[in-house]
Amino acid sequence: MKRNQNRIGLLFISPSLILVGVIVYFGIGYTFWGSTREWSDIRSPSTSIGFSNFEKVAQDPIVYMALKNILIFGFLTVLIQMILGFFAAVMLSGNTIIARNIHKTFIFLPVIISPAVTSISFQQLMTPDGEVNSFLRLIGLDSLQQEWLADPKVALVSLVIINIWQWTSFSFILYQAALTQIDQETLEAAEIDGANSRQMMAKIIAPQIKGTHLTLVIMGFIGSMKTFELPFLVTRGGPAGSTEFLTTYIFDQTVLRFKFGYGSTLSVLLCLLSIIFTVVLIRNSRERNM
Amino acid sequence: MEGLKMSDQKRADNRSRFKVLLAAILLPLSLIVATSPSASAEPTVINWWAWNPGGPVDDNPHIKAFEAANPDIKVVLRNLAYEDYKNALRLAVTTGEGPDVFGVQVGPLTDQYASSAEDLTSYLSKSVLGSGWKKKMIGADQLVSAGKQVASPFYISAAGLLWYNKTLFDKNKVTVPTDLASFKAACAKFKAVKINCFIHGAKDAWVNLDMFQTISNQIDPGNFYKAIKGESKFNTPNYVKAFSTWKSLFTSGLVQKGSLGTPQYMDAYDSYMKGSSAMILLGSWQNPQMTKTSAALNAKTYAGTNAGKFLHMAVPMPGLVAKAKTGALFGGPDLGWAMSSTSKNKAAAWKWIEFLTIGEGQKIMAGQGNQPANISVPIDTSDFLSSSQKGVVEMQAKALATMIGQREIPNADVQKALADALSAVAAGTQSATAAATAVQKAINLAYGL
Repeated sequence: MKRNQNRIGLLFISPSLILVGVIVYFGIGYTFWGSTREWSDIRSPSTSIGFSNFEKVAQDPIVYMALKNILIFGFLTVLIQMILGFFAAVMLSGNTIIARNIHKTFIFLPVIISPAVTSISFQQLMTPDGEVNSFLRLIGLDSLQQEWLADPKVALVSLVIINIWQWTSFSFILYQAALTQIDQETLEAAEIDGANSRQMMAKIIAPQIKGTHLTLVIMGFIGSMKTFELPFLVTRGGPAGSTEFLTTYIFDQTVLRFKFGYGSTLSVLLCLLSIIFTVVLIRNSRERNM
Repeated sequence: MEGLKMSDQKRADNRSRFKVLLAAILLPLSLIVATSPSASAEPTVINWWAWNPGGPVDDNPHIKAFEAANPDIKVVLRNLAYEDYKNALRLAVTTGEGPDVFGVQVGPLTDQYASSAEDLTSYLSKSVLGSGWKKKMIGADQLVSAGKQVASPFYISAAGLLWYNKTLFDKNKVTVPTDLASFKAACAKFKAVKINCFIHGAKDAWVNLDMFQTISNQIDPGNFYKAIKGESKFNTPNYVKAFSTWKSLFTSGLVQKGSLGTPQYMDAYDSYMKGSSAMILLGSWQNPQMTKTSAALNAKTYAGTNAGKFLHMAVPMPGLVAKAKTGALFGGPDLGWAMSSTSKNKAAAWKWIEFLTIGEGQKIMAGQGNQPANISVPIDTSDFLSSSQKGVVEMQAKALATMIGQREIPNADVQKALADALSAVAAGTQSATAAATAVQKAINLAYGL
């Protein structure tokens, strides 16, 4: 009877298993195999070169530049999106703001706009003669005008700004959901005990939604590693590589330069970094909870 | 006995049922065969993939003329933006579901798709051009890879030209520049009337490479084409000078602010065509903009501006260095048309390629102001807006006959290294000396030096 039940259970999950096994794990395995090949022609058979591609990656300055950009981009976007999303969720969960539902709708709108549309729009807005600089002139902040996408010193920050505009609402939604799970009696008791808003936020609310913090950090950093449309459509990795990401470099090597072997190596690197980051963070979080 | 009778009856019933079933299957099939048009009546379909040079999908003049002359062949054009085209083509050739005829550029694209393309040598030899076809087609040798004629050249592009809006120059009494000093003087005058002087889309690597080749050829004509193949050194004072000159275009303000974030097509190009900018670096592929047909189209495309009334002219890039040797153009086939080695309609595919690159298609190309690859077909200037523009074509014809080198850099890694160096120098993140060294390193790696 139990064996029968196991078989039936297996039958139910087999479509998902096949999908994940074939598409995800086979894909990863095939990419790893491709990374050990010298494969630079569309049709010609590839030749095995062992781990030479990995040695090449270790000496490639563009890879280090891309990793640095991912780190800076990930840190800034995750931190600022979490702070803004958290505060927006807290403010809109109370009764002090009128028309809260309308505010929530407007806050959520950017996340449903296609990243491609957002990228092209901001590319126009951020030209030297674009609306961003025009607005700064209008409010008397001429000194803050920049060549947002053409100056290597600010181009990455420009991408950070665009990403924050698009994805803060995602943090807001998760925090809003988490806040509804907080026991109201705990908050009332704290209020009675004389805790002010700042203390309640820091000592009661924030600790109780640790799970949401962790989720946003993991998803945020992995999202930063996987980000492609934004740097590709807005800056193409330039100027001078200042917004090169691993994803744009993989595209450049694999699609534009036909270097499938080297592109596969970079993809393996991206996959490994994502796994290592996730494992480290989850373990760290578990140890703290103990 | 009764059982046997039943068995016979059963067999008879089965036979009847089988006959009814067979009739039920065969009757509709025969109707389908009878009513469908015969296979020989259907035109042969040629799938043709291209980017911009293919022209519009609807009302394509080449397709219309070809199909009128060849009613048994239908050409279906798939026109994609260049980056999408490369990706789509790569996927298509690996699956064998790709086009019959596709475009390739000189350089890495020709090498990459050599194994997927039919060798056109014998086709070209048997064409009306005969065995001397190589001398009758400009730049055919640039579309050869590993001894194979991968593609037949379509039209010729020469880069290194400074296109200017003559209407704006005349209106503001500005003299066309011939050297750096007159270039700066022209820019000062345009700045005073709030017109951007020279627009450059430095976000696009290809136009930066064009500008760098132009500067290099002004310093040491032709050496660039040896240096990028490792046949002479790149980390020399001349190339450091070329990088420094390149940087000075940005620091002096000749190139507009934000150039590194501006693509040449369409942002910089639109600015020039609308009359917001007076000059732009392009090539002979811009010739069609001198025609009345293009002017009418521009009036619609850029409605609300005077785009339809502008007169566009070109001169070789003025000297940007002291004692500059100007006048040389570099280039070759803008693209060639290749036949897929897996095409099921090779005869028809060749007819289409022949039309485009040898036959009537060359005259259509010439009528648009482009330089045909077939040397016997001159550019048709009858549709030009002004007779003064014919001088542009005459200047180009002389320069095309003695082109200084191939526009496309043959090795993809060297091309990327040079493009990255140009971007870094323009952005101020790399010195001219370091840039020349970085490119030399890439050349050494690429050619095993």
